[in-house]
Amino acid sequence: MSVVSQSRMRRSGITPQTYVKWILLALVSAMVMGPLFVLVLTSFRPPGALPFQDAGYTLANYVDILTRRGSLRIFWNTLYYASSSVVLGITIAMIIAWLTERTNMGGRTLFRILMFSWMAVPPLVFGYGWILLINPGNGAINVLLMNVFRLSGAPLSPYSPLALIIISGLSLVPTAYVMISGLLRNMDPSLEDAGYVIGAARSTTVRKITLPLMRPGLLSVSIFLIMAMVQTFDLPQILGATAQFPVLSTRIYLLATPEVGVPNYGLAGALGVFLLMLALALMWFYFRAIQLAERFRTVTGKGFRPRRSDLGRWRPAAYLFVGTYFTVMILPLLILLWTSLLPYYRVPSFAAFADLSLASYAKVLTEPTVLRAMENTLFLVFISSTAVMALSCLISWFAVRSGGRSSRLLDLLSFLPTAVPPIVMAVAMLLLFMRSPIYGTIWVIIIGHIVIYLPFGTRTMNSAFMQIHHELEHAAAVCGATWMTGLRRVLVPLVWPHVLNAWLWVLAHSVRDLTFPLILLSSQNLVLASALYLRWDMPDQTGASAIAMILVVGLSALVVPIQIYTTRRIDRD
Amino acid sequence: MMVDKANLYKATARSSGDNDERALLVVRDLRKYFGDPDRGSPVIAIDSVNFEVKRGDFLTLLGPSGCGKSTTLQCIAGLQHPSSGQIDMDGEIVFSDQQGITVPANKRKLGMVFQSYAIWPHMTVFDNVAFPLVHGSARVPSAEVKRRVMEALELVELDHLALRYSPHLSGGQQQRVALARALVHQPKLLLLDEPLSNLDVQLRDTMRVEIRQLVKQLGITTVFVTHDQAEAMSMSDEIVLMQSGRIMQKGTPRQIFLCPKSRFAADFMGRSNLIPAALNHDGTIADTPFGQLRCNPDHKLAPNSRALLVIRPQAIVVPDPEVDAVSPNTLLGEIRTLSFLGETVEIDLGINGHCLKVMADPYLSLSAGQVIRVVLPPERCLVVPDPDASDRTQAAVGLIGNGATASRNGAAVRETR
Ligand SMILES: Nc1ncnc2c1ncn2[C@@H]1O[C@H](COP(=O)(O)OP(=O)(O)OP(=O)(O)O)[C@@H](O)[C@H]1O
Ligand SMILES: [Mg+2]
Repeated sequence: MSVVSQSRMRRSGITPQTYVKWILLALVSAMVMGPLFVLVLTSFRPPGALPFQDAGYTLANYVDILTRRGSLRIFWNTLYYASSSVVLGITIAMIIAWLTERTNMGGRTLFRILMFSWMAVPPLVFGYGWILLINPGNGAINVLLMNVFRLSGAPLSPYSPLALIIISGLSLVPTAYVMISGLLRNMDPSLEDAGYVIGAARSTTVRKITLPLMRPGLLSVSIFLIMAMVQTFDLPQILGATAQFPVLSTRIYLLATPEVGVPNYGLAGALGVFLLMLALALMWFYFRAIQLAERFRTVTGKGFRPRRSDLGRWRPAAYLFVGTYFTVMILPLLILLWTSLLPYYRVPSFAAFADLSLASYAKVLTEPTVLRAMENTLFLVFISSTAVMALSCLISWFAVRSGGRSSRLLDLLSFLPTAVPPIVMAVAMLLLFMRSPIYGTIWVIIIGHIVIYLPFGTRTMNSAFMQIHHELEHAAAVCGATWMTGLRRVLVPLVWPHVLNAWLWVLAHSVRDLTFPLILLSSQNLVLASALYLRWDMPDQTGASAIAMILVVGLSALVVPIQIYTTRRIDRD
Repeated sequence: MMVDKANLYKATARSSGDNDERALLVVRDLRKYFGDPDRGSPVIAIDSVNFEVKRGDFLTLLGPSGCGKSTTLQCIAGLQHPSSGQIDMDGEIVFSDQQGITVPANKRKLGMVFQSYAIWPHMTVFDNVAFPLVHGSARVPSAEVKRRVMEALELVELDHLALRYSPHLSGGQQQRVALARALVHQPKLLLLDEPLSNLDVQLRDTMRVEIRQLVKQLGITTVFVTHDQAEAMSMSDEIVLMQSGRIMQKGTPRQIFLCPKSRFAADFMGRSNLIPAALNHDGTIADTPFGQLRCNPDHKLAPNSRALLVIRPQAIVVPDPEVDAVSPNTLLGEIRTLSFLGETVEIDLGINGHCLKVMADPYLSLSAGQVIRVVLPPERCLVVPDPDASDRTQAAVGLIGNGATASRNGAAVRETR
């Protein structure tokens, strides 16, 4: 053997991939399991003790939760809130999905893009809009109704369990729509045609064939959304707190960051463990439902075009329904826009038009804290979304291409955070980093977001990579490209629209998230979501509205064009 | 056509033509298992594969689907890790389990064309071909890249499509791009995995000739994988015939076709008469359903053992009935069926109630029902081991076939008897 070749030879098995795999495995398990470990540890500490303080172990927190009278109500509230809002959201989403995917209703592409772009509107903003619309004091709709019907008191209020459920249900319609329209797109229309051919009426076909075929898919979508709603924090926090309607996430928040007194981390941790178990149970149901759905899968590959039925005399009704929905969705944004243009909140009227100005924008945009928050937000969302996608590309490569036990473990670990509610992860991060120098910096939020959005990234990249023929990658290796070059120059560019789409999703959700910024809040790491929350609480409604509009407009400017681009690219491929 | 420019290219392509005697590629005792050998029985994809390729030679791995050709090629390329064995390339060990050496695929300086061509759809033809020079281990300055890519594209006559994206290319054009990409960095060894199987028949025939001429002109050592025996015979200097992960026979196309050493080789390389036989005491005469036949003594079977006599339909001579020469192994038979194929006449000859397939000269005037004389020249009556000699109770004639289905047909004939 020549000397040159000595440098090129390598002990079998230890390739750059192996190093990367072990680094990833260490990183992901530390990021996912580390915080959860500290959380569970803390839940066994006596009340008032800090996680790393050696104060012995006790079951006191669990006993406390299980014996306290209010506990049962909190569990019940959580489930009731999650399932009712999901039922409402799925019902509306199904009707709209049906109309845009399976009928000849005009403007369906526009509706589709609107639905896909709705992620640019944080639920927080949506909730504040509704407060402005229907608060009992001077909510625009309340005032209107009182004037028209000559009522003495306000008929509506955002601060009730019912209002919370309706507003949450409305805000999850777009997510449900994205999932359900996917189900409808993948359904083989010939199964329905078989129904028409034997002479069944359209309604009978829908009832007897389409719905039963969709049932397993709908079931898994419902469970997935319930799992998500059980974990939500923002809407229950801003509406439910006043409504005296505590759910698990808001109670954990209150325990971990009380307005008065010392935090009770032990109790918050134990409650977090309960929420975690609830989410894990739902995840188990979700996997069962997916298995069921797989058996019903009727995908026969690409190339079929679903038959669109003629709306006929139902056309006006369809437009009325979709029109009403979009009006209801737009109203909160309009009232926020209105409020942001006034020196103080006033019920919309022609008289107030004279006072419209950009003064509050000028005010917030010159405030150092807001500017700092904008800077932090940009830093947070670009770093976390880019890091999630970079990690996901690597992890998915191992999951899809390399096989073996460690790759499967990596895949599983990266999916696990799906069942970890953000509030639980946020409290866990708080406990883990409390004593470390990065506590209070933007980096803790970044780490938190990377962990909770990793499952979305790896799921997307797994399915994207699976569609790529492995020879395309082998060709790069034989051409002399290193593994990394192959990934960078060949594999990732091939699935670029998917990467971009997932990156955008993570970015939008990172902007929207209030949980981590609020739990881990410090003077340094204020972001727009937490700035909005604090300003609303101040209270400064016009300033908050201005921040909300900046948030929505800024995010839309990124989301809408990318959505249009990727929808076209992915549809074309 | 595309070979004309090869001479021009050749000067640069052959930089390391120092010692032409040494084998460029040596594969020793290569094995590859799939699955965990600790748990359950692993799939044995290839088992003890040994062969060498001389510098500048064109070697073909031939065998039915699933016999391990691609696995062997991927082990050579470094895309799969063999379970054991050794691979030497140009005098260097690139894989050895005993010495713990694995040179990764990207360091082996190979050219490879894949069955799916693997042309990257997000790049232009130019960028595809430039990839090895820009991102590979053989990087060159960018001015050089342009010149070499255009040279390689001229070689495959695609220089006018350089800026096109690959989804807008035809199958044949994609194949040429793949070839240009595999050659642009002047690899020592070119690996081709069924590159012709996705092309239509006509294009396949032209590409067959062109690929062979091209690599021969460039002097690049080539390992080619195919399951098509006609392809293998027309292109190769040497054929390695494989079955279920093992090498059945190695040799030139002529050797493999004319002297199959096993029933599988006889079957796979074309149609043969497979005649059950019992050898005599010195192994030169075989007792067959057609009577005693003198056979080619060049075999390793024990005297008095059971064997198969392989005789190709083309090997059988139909002598002129006017000429009354006496030659050994002359048989009389009745023409049962006769199909006139133009290039040849295919005859089923009934002898002693058994059937013998004969390919005859189309200019002979023959008709069904006619009784003719045929000669089975002894040197063309090859003796191979009978794989199911043990469970055969009654002598019968197994027949003919082409490719992988033949052995099954043979077995079926036997069982139904
Ligand atoms: N990843 C794998 N896991 C398990 N078995 C495998 C794997 N890859 C290949 N095999 C098995 O190894 C054997 C050889 O496969 P190989 O791909 O080399 O066949 P081939 O000769 O190229 O066939 P073809 O002509 O169909 O391409 C087959 O039996 C195949 O089933
Ligand atoms: Mg193959």
